[in-house]
Amino acid sequence: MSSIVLDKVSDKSGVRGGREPGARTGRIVLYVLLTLGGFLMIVPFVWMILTSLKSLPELASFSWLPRALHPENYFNALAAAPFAMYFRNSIFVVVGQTLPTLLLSTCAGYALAQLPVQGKKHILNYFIVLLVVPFQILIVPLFLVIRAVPLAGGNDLFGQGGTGWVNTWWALIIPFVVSPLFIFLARQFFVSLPADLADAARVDGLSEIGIFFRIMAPLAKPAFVTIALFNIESAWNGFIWPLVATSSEDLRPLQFGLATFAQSSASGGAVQWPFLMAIATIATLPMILLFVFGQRYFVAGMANAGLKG
Amino acid sequence: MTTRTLEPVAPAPSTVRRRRSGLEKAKARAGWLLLAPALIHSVIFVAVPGVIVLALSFSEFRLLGSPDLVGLDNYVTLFSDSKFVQALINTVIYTLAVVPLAMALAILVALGLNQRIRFRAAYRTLFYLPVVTSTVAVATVWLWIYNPSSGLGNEVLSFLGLSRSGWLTDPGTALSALIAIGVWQGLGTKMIVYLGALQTISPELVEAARLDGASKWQIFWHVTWPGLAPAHFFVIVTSIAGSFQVFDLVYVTTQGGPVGSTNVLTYDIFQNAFGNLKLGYASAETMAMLLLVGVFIYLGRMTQRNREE
Amino acid sequence: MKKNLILGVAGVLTALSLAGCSSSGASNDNPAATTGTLRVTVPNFPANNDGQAAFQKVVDHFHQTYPNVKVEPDYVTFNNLNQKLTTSIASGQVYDVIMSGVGWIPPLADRGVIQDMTKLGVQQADVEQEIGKNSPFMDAVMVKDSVYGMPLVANPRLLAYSKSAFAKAGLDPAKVPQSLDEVRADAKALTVRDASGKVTQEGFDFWAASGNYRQQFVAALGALGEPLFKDGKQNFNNVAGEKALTWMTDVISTDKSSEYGVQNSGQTAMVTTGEAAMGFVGPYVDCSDKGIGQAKCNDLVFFNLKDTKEAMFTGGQIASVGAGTKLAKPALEFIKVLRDESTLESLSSLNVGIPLSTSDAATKFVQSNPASTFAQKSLQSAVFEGGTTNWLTLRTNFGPTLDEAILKRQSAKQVLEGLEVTAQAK
Repeated sequence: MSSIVLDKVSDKSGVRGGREPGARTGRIVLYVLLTLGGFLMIVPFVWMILTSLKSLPELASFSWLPRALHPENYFNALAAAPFAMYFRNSIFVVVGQTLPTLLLSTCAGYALAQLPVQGKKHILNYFIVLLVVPFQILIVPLFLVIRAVPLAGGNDLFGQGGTGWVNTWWALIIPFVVSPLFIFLARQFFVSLPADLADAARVDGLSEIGIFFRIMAPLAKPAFVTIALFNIESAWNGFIWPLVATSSEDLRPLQFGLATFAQSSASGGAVQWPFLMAIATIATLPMILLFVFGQRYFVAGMANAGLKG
Repeated sequence: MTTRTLEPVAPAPSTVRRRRSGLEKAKARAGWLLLAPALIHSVIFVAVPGVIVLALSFSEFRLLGSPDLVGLDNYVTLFSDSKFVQALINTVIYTLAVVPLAMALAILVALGLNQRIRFRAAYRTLFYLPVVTSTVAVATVWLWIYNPSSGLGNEVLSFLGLSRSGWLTDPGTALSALIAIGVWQGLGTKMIVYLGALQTISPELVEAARLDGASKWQIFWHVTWPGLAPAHFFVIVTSIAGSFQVFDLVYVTTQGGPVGSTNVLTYDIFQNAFGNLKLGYASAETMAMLLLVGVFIYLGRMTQRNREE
Repeated sequence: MKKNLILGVAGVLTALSLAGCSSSGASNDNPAATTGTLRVTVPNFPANNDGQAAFQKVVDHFHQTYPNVKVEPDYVTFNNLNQKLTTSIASGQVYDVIMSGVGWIPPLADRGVIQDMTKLGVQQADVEQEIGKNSPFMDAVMVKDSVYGMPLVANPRLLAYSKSAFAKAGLDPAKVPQSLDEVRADAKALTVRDASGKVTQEGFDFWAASGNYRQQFVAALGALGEPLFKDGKQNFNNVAGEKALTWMTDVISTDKSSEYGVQNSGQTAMVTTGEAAMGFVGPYVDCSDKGIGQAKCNDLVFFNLKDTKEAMFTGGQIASVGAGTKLAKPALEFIKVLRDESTLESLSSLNVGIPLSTSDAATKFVQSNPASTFAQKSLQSAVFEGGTTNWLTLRTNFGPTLDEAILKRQSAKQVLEGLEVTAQAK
């Protein structure tokens, strides 16, 4: 049983805990480097939070600390645009995408990893090719596909005459319920699980599908968290597709609210930085929380992604 | 689903063969069942749009009315298009710089975070934050750092006695400046992969090597590094794909400038499609890009040749 | 075999693009009985609460005439208008009312996205009545003697200098630069550097990011008396164009009185923050304490680029009727409602512009701050970009190509010749 024992630290670089004087300097250097590096990493994030507490005129020139704290920016920002609706829409889309993707991508990944599907190497290559295609170029063709969904939005059997899924929740969710990237990820994970696990279960009379759901999936919790985190991040930050595929406000997501702050408005044409950063901070919180709590599973998940070719 | 029970006595070969192929068939059936939804979905929502793009690449689509078939004209024009060539070169340089650099740094950081140090979880979160920080915040802070008159970058340079740089406004340095941001942003995900992969390297192996008298470097090179090879595969494929798809960064900071020095393929495609309204030409460019990525990934996989499954 | 597949897909695309027509309903002669849904793109109404409230007022007013016609706004941003329109056009989803900018009208008309409003009954005289006779905006909405759009709001770019900065540099604060050369000379004197060579006050701020010097070039060209396009043909590859581009190159790269591509982090006009002594500004300054303050407001003198002529680069917002709409009369009524005084004022505040109207209310509105007062007085000097049917594609490349000259990688002549070639392409 390949269990990932987390936080099982092995002294890879041979630094023994404080037994030699050289080791202690090594450790100090490590702390210094990590702290410096970590600091560099969070600089924009810190700036984001500090800016959300400033007043608008302060922002013509770059500064770090606010002259005075303005926590009311958060309330004003939330009140400036229908954010309750935008948040609701984003959550709806995120959940709508993530749950099916967790199921379908892991199923496919497991099949490619452990089951004797004919031509599975080619199928894997097919998915890898798909994950390489940049989304920008797919916008117009995907829009055409969405518009031509048969028997939807006034379309006839051949997808003509109406608007298909344009301007509906389906357009925002369905194209993303399976992703080649996650299939690849799931496959890497399942490949690392020993095959005898499945054999033992077969002996016990479990069906193949049963093996997947009863044995493999529970072991795949780390992969689930990984996929969930990635998918939530991309669904949460999606902007171009919702813009193009929808026209009514009650379908528009969070990023859309942010974009309106970046447009000229009553502030004389300047970007409303404090509001923008306030909402951006709020928007980042769910993902950070998910990362912090999911870290235990998360590290293990990515670990298995790399386990075997 | 039929269940099988093992015979206590070794059965005749022909029976075993039949039973085994029956089992294989059942497994294959299950495999297809699990794979089917993902395959169907990807065909409709990714492959079909992809085929449309391919078809468009042989046409000139003036937006209204039907596309005119022009055969290979678009491809021929591509090679004499200086913008395309420049974007091609820039993208290759960007990839060649970011992928190894980010991977190397990620491994180093992962090694560091794999030591028995305190605040490990906190450090991990710090290094992961850039991935979830809003692109707008990231761009703004980096634009400030790179601001030629008041930015941190030039302050540091003058402090070190070096001459001030134009950073993103200087065609000679703009791409390098972007590469720095790319490395910085891509570090988090790669680090997590390696961190997890390091957890799976058997400590007994390391201990055994150390007992055999191997130096720190030898342990790393002969035990750790090979153990990380599978992680390399995943990271290489996704990193190459990711760096070819770099778009948001360019869109928000330099818009391909100055004078095209940061024009990358996805941005050029985007401009051709939505700026120049030449969807056919942009599609041809996409095909060329996919070919290039395919070559890179193939070369990348070659470095993993021995470890592949 | 491949060809059949391609033809098949192309056929599908054709069918798809011809199949759509989004506006529904019938346009009777009785407005009260007309039903349907009017689809409107509204990049100039931000999607925030203020914008939506302002838009709702428009809808309410519209409903006084057409109570049964639903209005469906699409709050697309200006930055993304391209993607939205491209995707919609490519898939045959047409809007009933389309709001776009100056320079967009000829391309959109040519591609059959907007329709001839004269055929719907809007005469040139009607437009003149709204925006005034001899308004330079007439050219922007006319295509071959037909009206294709109704101007709403103007978005000009003015110039300003700081009196105190002039005084500090030994220049006479009352002397407004009268030629491009004078601007250059003044800018050179106004540039302040510290000991390490870092610029602490720019002599002239073009208010442009790298690749975005296009509109400033149009202003300079206009100051030399030439419009960007004349009679549908390019008018920048000539002596005036060369002089304008060389002037910009000199100020930026030779004298270094302006830092190429540098903006402050708020991307605001640096002459209003004191980071530059002179430069481009928008037609609105907030003189209150929440803005730049009354002291700064008093310190600024507004003027236009001038050489042979006075020129003020101007953008604007124009409303057009979508081609293929089944609700032509309601669409026209909607556009009429957009020209309400209060709507124009909302649009102007929301979009940093000035209303294009000859009414007293409009005049009163612009008096609220010195920048818009000056802008309105100078509307006769407006110069525009665009004017040809391939403008949308030309403008993508125009700015970055100008940079080749500004950064002295090519001569002005070479750059302008290259642009002429691009301008002649379809």
